[in-house]
Amino acid sequence: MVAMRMSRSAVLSLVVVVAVALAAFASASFAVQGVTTTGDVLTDDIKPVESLRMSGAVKVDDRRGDRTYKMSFQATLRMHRNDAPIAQGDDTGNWPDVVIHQSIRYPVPGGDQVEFVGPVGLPFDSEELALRIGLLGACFDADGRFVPDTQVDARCSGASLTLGDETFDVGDLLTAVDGRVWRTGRDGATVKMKLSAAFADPGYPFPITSLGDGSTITVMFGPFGGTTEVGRVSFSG
Amino acid sequence: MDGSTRLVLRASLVLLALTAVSGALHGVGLIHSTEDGLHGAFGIVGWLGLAVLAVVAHLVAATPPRPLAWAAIGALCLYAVATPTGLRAAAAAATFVAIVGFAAGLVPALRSEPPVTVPHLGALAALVVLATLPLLDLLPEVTGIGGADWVPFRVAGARSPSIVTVAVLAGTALVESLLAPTGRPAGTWGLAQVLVLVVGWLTLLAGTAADSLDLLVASVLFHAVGVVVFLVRIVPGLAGDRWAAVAVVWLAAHLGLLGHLALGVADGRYLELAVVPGWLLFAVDHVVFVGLVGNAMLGWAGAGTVALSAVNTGLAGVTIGLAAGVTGVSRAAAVVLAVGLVLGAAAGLAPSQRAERRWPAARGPS
Repeated sequence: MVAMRMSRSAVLSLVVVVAVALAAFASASFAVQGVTTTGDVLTDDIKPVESLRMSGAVKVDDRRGDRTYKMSFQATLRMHRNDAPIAQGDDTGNWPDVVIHQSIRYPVPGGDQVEFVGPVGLPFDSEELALRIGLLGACFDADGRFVPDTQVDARCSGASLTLGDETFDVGDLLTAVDGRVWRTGRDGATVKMKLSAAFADPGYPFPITSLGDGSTITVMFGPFGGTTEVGRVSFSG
Repeated sequence: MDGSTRLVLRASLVLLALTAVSGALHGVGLIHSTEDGLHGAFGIVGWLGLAVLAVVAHLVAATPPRPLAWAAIGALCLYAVATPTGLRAAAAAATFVAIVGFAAGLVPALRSEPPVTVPHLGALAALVVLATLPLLDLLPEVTGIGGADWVPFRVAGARSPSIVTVAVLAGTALVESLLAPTGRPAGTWGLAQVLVLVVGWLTLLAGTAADSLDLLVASVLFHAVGVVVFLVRIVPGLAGDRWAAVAVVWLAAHLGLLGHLALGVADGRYLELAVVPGWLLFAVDHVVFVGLVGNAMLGWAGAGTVALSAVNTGLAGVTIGLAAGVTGVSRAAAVVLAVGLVLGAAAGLAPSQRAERRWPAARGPS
C-alpha cells in the first residue's frame, strides 16, 4: 500500500516537473514572439525605445573629381528605464553595434499601381529600397569615438542595399565612415550619436538622394531602436 | 554543523539580505547602471560564494579552521564590494587564495571520509568552478591589455554563465542531501549528472575562448542533460522535503527557459547577448539563484512558510511582470521577493531550535 502511494506520488511529481518545464518553454517562446513581430523594418528584432529624435543631411561632393554622397545623422535615443542597464553593452565593455536603416520609396514610371500625380497627372508607380549602414560596437573606443576614422575598415563597418527581394553588399562603395556615441542623463538611459557615411558614386543616382514621401529611417543602438518618418531633408552639394 | 561552517553560512545569509534589498531597489527603479553592480556583486560573489563554501563544508562533514572561515568571509565580502571598482583584480586574487585555503581546510575530512555520494561530488565540483571565477576575472589583468578579439578577454566572458553552473551544482547537491539525508554511494547516473555538468562548463570555457557558437550551444546542451539526469533521479523522492521539492520545480522551469534560449541561439535569433530579452536573462539565472539555491538554502536554514511563500510568489511575479511588460506587477513582486528573502535570511540567522534541528539533516552519509 505504501509502495503504491509512493509510486503515485512519484508519478505526480514527474508530471508536475515535466509540465513546469514545458510551460516555461512555451511561455518564453510565446512572450518573445509577441515582442519580435514589431521588428518589421529590419531582419533583427527591435526593442522599441521610449523616444527618438533625429536629423539628417545629404551632401553631394564633386570637388575631387569622383562624386561622393555623404550622409550625416544626429540622433538621440531615450531607452525605457528598465532597458537602460541592458543598453550599457555586453560583459566585454564594448559599445553596442549601431545601425542606420533607411527604407526609401522612390517613383518609377508605369507599373501595376499607377497613380496619376502632379498638375498634369503623370503616371507613376513607386518602389521601395532599403539602405543599411552598420558600425560595429567593438570599433568604438571607451569614449565612444569610432576608431577607424582615416580609412574604411570592412571589419568595423558595412553597408547593404535591398532592391526588391535581393540584398546587395555595397560596403565597397563606402569611402568614409565616422561616428561618436555617448550617454547622457543621470540614469544613463539616453544615448546620443553623430554618424556620417560617404558613398562613392555607383554610376547611377544614388538612392539616398531619393529620400522623400513615405521614407523612414530606423536607428538601432544594439537591440534598441526607433523608426521615424523622413520629414525635411537637407541637401547640399 | 561545526561553528566555522555555521559562521560562513550566516555570513552568506547576511549578504543574501543585502542582495535582496539592492535587488528590490533596482526592481522598483530606485538604483540604476553602476549602482546595480552591487546587486550582482553581493548576490553572486558574496552570497552564492559563501553559500557554496558552507554547503561543501557541511556535506563533507568538515571542520575548517576558524581563521580560514574568516579569511573566506573577508575576501568574498571585499570582492563583492570591490567588484564595481578599480580594486577588483586585487580582491579577485585575494578571493582565489581564500577559497583555495578554505578548500585546504576540508582535506582532513575528505581523507577520513572520501566523498562518495552525488551531493558530495556535486558540491566539490561547485567548489572547483567557484574557485575559477576570480581567476577568470584576473585573466585579462595579468596577461596585459588586448582588444575584444583577444582570447583571455573572451574567456573572461565565461564568468557570468559559469556562475549558473556553480549554482546548479551546489543547489542540486543541497536539494539531494535534503531529500535523501542518508546518502548512498553515487551510482552511474549520479556520476553522469555531475560529470556532464562539469563537461558543459568546460565546453563553455572552450566555446568562449574559441568564439565558437557550436561549442557554446553544445555547452548549453550538456548543462541541460545534466539537469535532466538530476530531475529524473530526484523526482520520485520529492515528497521528502517541501522546499527542496519547490526548488526542483524551479529547476524544471530553468530547463524549459534554457531550451528556449538554446533554440534561439541555434536558429540565429540570439546570436548576440544584447538581443536576448532582458526578462529572459533575468528568468534563466534567477530561477536557479533564487528558485533552486534560495529555496533549498533557506528551507535548510529553517525559514518559515511565510518567508518562502513570499520568495516564490515574488520570483514568479517579477518574471511574469517583466515578460508581460507590466511594470507595476514586477515592481510589487520585487518588493515581495525581497521581503521574503530578508525574512528567510533573518530566520536562518536567528539561533532557533528549528534551524538547529534542520541544519544537521542536510549532511550526507554519517
